[in-house]
Amino acid sequence: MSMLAFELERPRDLASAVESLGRHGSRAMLKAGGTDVIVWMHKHAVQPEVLVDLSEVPELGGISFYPHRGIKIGAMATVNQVGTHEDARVHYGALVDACLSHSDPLIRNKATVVGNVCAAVPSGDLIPAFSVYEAVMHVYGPGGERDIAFADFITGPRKNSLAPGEIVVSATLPMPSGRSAACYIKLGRRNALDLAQVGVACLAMQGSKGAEYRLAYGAVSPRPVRAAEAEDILAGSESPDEALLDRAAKAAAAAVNPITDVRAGREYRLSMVEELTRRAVSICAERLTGRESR
Amino acid sequence: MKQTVTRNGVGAWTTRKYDHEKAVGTLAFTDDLRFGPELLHARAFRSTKAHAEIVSIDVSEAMKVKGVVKVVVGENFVHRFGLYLHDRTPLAVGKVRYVGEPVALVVAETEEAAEEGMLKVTAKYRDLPPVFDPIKAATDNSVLVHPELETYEHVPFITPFPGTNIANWFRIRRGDVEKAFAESKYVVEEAVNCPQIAHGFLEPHCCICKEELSTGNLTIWSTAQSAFALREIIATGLGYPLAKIRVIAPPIGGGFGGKAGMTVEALCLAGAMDPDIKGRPVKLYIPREEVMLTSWVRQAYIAKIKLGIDADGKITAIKNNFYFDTGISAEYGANPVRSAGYSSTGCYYIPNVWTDSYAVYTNKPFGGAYRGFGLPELMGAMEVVIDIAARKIGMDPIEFRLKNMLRTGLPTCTGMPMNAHSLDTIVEKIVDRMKLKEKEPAKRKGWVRGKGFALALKAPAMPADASSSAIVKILGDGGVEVLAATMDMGQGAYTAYAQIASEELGIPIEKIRCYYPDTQSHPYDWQTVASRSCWSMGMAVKRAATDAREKLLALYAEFWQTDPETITIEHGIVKCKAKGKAEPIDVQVQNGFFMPSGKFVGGPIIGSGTFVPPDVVNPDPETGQSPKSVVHFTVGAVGVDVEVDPATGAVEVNKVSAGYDIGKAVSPMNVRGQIEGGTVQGISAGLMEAMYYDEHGKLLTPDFTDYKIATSMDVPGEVDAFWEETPEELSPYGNRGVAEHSMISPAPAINNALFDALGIRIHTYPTGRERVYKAIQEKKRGETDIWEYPYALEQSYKNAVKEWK
Repeated sequence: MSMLAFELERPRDLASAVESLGRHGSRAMLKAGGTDVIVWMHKHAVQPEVLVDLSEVPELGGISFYPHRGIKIGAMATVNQVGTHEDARVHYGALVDACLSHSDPLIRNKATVVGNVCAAVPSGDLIPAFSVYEAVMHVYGPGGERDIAFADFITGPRKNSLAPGEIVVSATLPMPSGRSAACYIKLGRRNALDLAQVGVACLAMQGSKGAEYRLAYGAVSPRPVRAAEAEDILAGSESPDEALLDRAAKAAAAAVNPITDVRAGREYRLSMVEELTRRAVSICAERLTGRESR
Repeated sequence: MKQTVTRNGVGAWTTRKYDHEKAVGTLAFTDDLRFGPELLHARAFRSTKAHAEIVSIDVSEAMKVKGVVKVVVGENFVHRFGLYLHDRTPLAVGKVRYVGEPVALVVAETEEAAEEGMLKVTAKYRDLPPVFDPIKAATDNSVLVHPELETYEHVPFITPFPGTNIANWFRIRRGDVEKAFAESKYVVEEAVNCPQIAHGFLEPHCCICKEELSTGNLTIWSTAQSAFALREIIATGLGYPLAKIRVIAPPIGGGFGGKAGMTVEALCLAGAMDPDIKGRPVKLYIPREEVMLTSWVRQAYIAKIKLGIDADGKITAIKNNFYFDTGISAEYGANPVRSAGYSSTGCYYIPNVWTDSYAVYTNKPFGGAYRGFGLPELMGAMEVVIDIAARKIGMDPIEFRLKNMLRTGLPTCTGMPMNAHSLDTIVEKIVDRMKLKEKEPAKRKGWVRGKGFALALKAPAMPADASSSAIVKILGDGGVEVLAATMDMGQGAYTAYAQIASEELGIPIEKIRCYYPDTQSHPYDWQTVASRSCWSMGMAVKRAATDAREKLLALYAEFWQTDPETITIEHGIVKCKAKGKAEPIDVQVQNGFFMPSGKFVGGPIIGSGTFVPPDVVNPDPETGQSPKSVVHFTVGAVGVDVEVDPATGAVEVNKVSAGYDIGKAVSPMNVRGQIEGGTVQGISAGLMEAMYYDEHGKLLTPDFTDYKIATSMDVPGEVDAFWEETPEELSPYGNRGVAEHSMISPAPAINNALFDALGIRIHTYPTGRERVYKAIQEKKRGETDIWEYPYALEQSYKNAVKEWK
C-alpha cells in the first residue's frame, strides 16, 4: 500500500509545534521517530492530513541524569541513545533491556522511547519499564505545562490521556530508592525483530523493610498492568524460594488479561507470564543480593 | 586432447557475476526503471469476501479522484491464464473466491491518485458459503470453488475432476499394496500437516506493460523468473502471436518459485490493454502487504502415509494420501502435486505403491511453485513417518533408512531405475560430523537437547519436453557474451555459465558477460525453475561455447595453414606450438580473417546450442508408471542438533550438517551458497513460518509484522555444507540439480530432533515456540503425539477472547 498525500510541517520550536497542532486539530498527527506512524499511514490505519514532525524541535532532544531526581528522557531521544546511555545502564536495567529488545539496531536509531510509550500499543516494549519506574510524563500544550503520572497516561490500546494540542516534552523515570536491580524479559516468536507476545519488567529495591518489588507486563492487557498482589507476596523477601516465586507467578497471571491473536494464544501468554515472572524476579533478586546494581 | 586452458573454468572457486553492482547498489531492478511522464500507475481494489457473487461495483467516486484515468473491472478483461490449467482470471469475473482477490484495477496518473481511487471503489456482494478446509473441499462437494472447471483448458498430463474441487489427481499404482499390507509384520499409519507458507523474497512483484498503439505489440518489463514462459502464458491467454510480445526481465530480488510462470503481469495488462489507456505504459507495483494475496504461495498440505514393513525391517508397501490445499488456483499448483506424487516413495525402494496426490481448491489465496516444489511437503511428512516407523519396530532410524535406501538401479515408484548416487557416504558423513548416535548433554542450563536426521530427494519437476538454448558470441577483442535466458536471481547462474564458457573457450572469466533475459535478444529457455538451469541450460551453453570454439579454431587453422587439433586457446591466447604461433584473440574474429587464399573468410563468430531431454516420458495418468519419468534425482541428507527450553518452548539449532550428491560442482561458490541458503530457509519454514487466517478467510499474516522468517539470530552461525560428486551420465559436466534440495529436509530433521529431545511427536508444522510448549504440556499429561489441524486456528480464533477495543 502506499501513503496518501499529506502535508508535512516541521516546526523549529515547541511553541510552534503546539500552535501547529492547535491549528489543525484532529486533522494532524505528531511524528517523532516515525517508525510507527509512517507504517500506519502506509497501511491506512491512520490518515492524518497534516503530519507535524518534531525532529527539529530543540527542546525535545537529550537525556539528562540527576542522581536524586532520576533520568529525564527527551521526546526525541532514540531507543538506541537511551539503550546505550551510561547512567541508564548503571541505574535503569529494565529500561535498557527494553530498549535493546526493541526491533533492530537500524530501527532503534530512528524510533524514540517516548514515542513508543505514546503510541500506547499494548506490546510496546518500553511501557512495562515506564510502569515499574513509575515514570512521570511532562506535557506541554495550549494550557501550559503539566505532569501526568504514567499510571494515568495510557488509557487503552493506542489511546493516551493527552488533551488535544498537547505534546509530551519528556518523561522522568525517578531514581529507584536504595540499592536496586531491574530487568525486562521479552518473549517473541523469534530472537530478534518481533513484537512481544509477553513482556515482563521487574524492579527490585532494597528498602528499610527489606526488598520491595515492582512487576509490570506488556502485551497481556489493554492498559499497562502492574501485578500488585504479586508485588505484595514478594515484598520483604531478598531471595524468594520456588514456592514464593510460584505464588507470585500465579498472582501475576491473575492480574493480566491477555487475548488470543495471531501472535499467541491466551493460554500460552498466561503460562509465559508465570514463567517470565519467576525468571525476572530471580534475576533481580540475585542481582540485588550480589554486588551488581543495575 | 583438451584444447583450452583457463583458471576459472568448471569447478573453480570464483567471485560471482553481478555481486559488485548489487553491493554498490547500482544494479537497476524493475521498480528502478524510469518511463517518464507517460507512465500510469495501477492499484488493485480487492475483495473483502471469501466467496460471493459480485452484485455491483461502483467506480463513480473513484473516477472523480483527480488523476484517475480509468477503473477496469473483470468484465472488461475476460481472459483465463495458467501454466498447466487455465483457471485464473487477473480480475474477479462475476464472483470473488478469496479475501484479497483483485476486483477492480484503478489506473491513474500518480501512485497517490491510484491509491486514493482504490479506496473510493465500492462493491456489493451476495455471500456464498466458503470452504477453507481441503479435506472438506475434497470429500464434500457442497461448495464448488470452480463450478466451471470442465471448461478450463489444461495440459494433458494433469487430470482435473469437474464437478469437484479436485484440480489435479495424480496416481501411482504399482504392485499390490493391500496384499503386501496383509503379509506385513508391521503396519504404521501416520499423518502430518503444514499450513501455507510464503517465499518472502525481498523484492515485491513489479511490472510495467505497454501496448504499442499502431501495431498492438506488447512490451512487458517484469520481476519474472521465466521471461519465455511468461510470454507463452500471456500469448495463450490473450490469443496473441509470440512475436508480438516482448518480455524484458531485469534483475530480480529473489524468486524461490514465486516469480515463475505468469504472476501479476496479466493484471497489469488489464490496465495497459484497456482501449482508454493503451499506448501508455502502466506500472503495477504490488505492496508488501498484498504480495501473498496477489500471486501464489506454497500449498498447505495434509499427508497420510501408511507403511507395511516385514520382519527384517524392509518396507514392502506404501499407501499415500496427499491433500494439497491449492487455494483458488491450481494453474501452477497442479504440478507440485504431481511432483510429490511421482517421488512418493522418497529415498526408499518400496515394491508396492499406491499414491493419491490431490490438488484441492479452497477459498484462500492460491498455491504454486516454491523452492522444493512438492518435495518439502512430501519429505516433511515422509521423513517424519519413517522416523516414527523405525522407532515403532525398534530399529535405529538411520539403520532403517539405510536398509530401505533407493540404491542405484532399483526402481522408483514410477518404475524408472534410480540413477547413480552416493547417498550412503553422505549419511555416514553426517552421522559422524553430527555425532548422531551419541546423546550429548544440553549446552544451556535447564534445556533439553536432541538430534534429528532426514533424507532428501528431488528431480527437476517439469514437462517432459522442457528445452533450453543459448548463444555465445566471441567479440572483436576476445571478450565473450553469453545469451542464456536463465534469470540469475541470486543462485549464481551467470557465474556458472561464465565458468562453462571459460572452460570451453579458454578465455578468462573476467572477459565473459551474461545478460539478463529479454525475449527479443535471447534464444528460448522454458523456465528458471526446477533446479534445471545449470543442467539443461548448462548443456545449451556448453554446446554453444563448443560451437563457437570450433568455428574459431577452424578459422585459425585455415589462417595458419594447420589442423584445428594442433591449436589451443590458453587464457585468451590462441596458440599453435608446431607453428610457433601465440596471438591474443583480436578483431579478426569479428571482421574475418584475410586468408592465405587471398580472401576474407569468417565474420562474427556466433556459437549456438540447444538442448531438450531426449527420453523423458510423462507418467501414465492411470498408474503413474513411466520408463523415465524424470531426468534425474539429486539425493542428500540433513542432520540437526537442537535444544529446547521446556519452560517456554523456545528451540535453538546448535548445529546443522547438509550434504547432497550433485554429480559435479560446476560453480562451487554457488553450490555452497545454495546449500547454506536453502538450509536456513528450511529451518525457518520448519520453526516458524505459517500463513494464518481468521474464521472469515482473511489473511492475518500479510506482511513481516506477523509472517515471521528466521533472522540471523535464529539460525546457527554456520551451516556445514558439503557435497559428493557421482557423475550424472546425461549432463554437461556430470552435474545434477542442487538449487532447491537444501530446502527440503531441514524441517523434518528438526521435527525428528524435537522428538529425540522431548519424547513427543509433533505432527504439525511449524514447530514454533507455542506449539512446542503445548507439546511439552501434552507429554506431561501422558500424550505421545500432538496434532493440530491447520484449520483449528481458524476455529480457535473464532472462539478466542478478543475483547480489547
